Amino acid sequence: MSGHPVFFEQALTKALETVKQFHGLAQEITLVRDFRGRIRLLLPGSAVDYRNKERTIKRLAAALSAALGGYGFPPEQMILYNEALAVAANELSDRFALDQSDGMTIHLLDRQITGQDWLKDPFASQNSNPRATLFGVKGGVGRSTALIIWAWHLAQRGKKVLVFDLDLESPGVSSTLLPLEAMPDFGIVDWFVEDGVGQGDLITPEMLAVSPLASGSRGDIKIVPAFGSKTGEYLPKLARCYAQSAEAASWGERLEWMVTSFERNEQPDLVLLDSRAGVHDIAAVAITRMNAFSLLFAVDSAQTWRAYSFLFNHWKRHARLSDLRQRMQIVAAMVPETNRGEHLKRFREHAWDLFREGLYDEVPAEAADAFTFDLNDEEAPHYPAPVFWHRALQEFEPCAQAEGIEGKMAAEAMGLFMDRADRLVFAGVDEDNAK
Amino acid sequence: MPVDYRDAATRHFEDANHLHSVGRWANADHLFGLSAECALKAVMLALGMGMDPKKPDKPEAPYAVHIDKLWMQFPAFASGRQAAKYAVLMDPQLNPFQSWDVNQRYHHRSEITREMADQHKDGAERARAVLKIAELDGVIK
Repeated sequence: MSGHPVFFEQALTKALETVKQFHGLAQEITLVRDFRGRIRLLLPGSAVDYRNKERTIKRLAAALSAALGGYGFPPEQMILYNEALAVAANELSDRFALDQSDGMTIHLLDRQITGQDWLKDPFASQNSNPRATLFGVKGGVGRSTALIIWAWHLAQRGKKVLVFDLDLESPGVSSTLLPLEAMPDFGIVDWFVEDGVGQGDLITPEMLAVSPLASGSRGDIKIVPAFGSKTGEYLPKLARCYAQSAEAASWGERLEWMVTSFERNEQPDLVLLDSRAGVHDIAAVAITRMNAFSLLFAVDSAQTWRAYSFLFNHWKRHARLSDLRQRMQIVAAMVPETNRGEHLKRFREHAWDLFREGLYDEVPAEAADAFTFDLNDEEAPHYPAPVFWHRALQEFEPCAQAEGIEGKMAAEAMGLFMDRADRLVFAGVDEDNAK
Repeated sequence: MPVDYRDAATRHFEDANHLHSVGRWANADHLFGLSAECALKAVMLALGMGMDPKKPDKPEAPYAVHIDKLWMQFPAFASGRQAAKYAVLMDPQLNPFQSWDVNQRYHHRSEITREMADQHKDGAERARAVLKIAELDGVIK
């Protein structure tokens, strides 16, 4: 054991380096990283299969134990065998390949308490309507306000919009779109709790309300709020929301199921998911698993880009990265009133850096089939759709104000954003069918 | 002697399967029940279940019970994000060990049918899955 402590971020590299020295041992090896980050080895078959390699295994266990420090185990606990885990075989399906060399594939099986959904495949979706997720890595940038104005604009154009307030920890869209008297009895937190005991269907008819904001337009805005007028105790319900159900359906599967059931009944032209800000399980599901188009809100600050780069770098491991990155668009939020051009130019450069580092292919843009874009390509995911700062959007309470939303203000603040977002989410949707 | 629920769960399970494969239903059935009990107690101990201060080889009340009762206790015991994960692997509405009783060891072999042994084998496999998943997670070393 060397005198240097091993920290979390070094442990995996050290484990890989150590295991690669033993490449004759097996064709497939899995590193299991547990809740605390400690790493063990999972070998295919059972201990009996390795009888003639006992000395090699002993050396490997000792080497790993020495290399990993606090993130390892004593040598005798270092090796697990697949066969002993046969009962939990489907637990292995979440592993992904870290390294392939010398005829050996090394996988990582990352056991986490939360955040598993970021890298999982999308659900087999049954929705015929498009979906859009509005996400921000930090809150307070006007994401929910933008959602409301966009929904209103779509209703003006005759679209049926269905909104889900998934920002359960700080529900906002619900209250802005629905005055108290228009609230349905229940909301999303109630559904997750009731569904946990098999009663979700009993409250779905009482979870949907029509927003008065779009009255008088050709389309409509319906909303499934985070809570309803009969929700009662919010916190004890919220604390139970993220549990798996008795049938062991994950939180994400349950959410997909709920959204799909409303889509079947309402037949909307577009579903908008207001995702909570930050790197949270709700966002993981709404961005990567629900086949939605993601609008990623950002302000031009170092902390925002840093937080996004954590996320993008995590996605590099995603098995379906090529699909995922096709459905993303960065949004420049709260663009100041002065020096707009200069501001957006800087924003664009920073966004380009982010996408090149995380999601674009490292080849010249003219290479065939490469997913990469020039800095000034207006159709690129990094080329921001802007939302301009507007006085009327501060303390925005459109349902409380007689005039509701002014078309002129909406166009000034969000015209460019809405044109772009409309094009992106309805791409491939036959306009004749969509009224 | 100190308790080792994890090893006990494994050896009872292995021996129960051995007896089951040669049609010794009554004793296979008995050991499947003990195996499931030990598997759940191993996980509960790792998740913070205490032992009885007066009898250090027994769990604290109300967990000093056999699998016919313990199966229903487990979901109530499991609280917090980590433990809830294991609780959902077991359906408290459907206790596969409802018809299992530790005192059946005193009964005639014909009382224990193949159907009973099969059902309890399935229950023991489910309890074992909880144990194995907890091992992967590092909750149990």
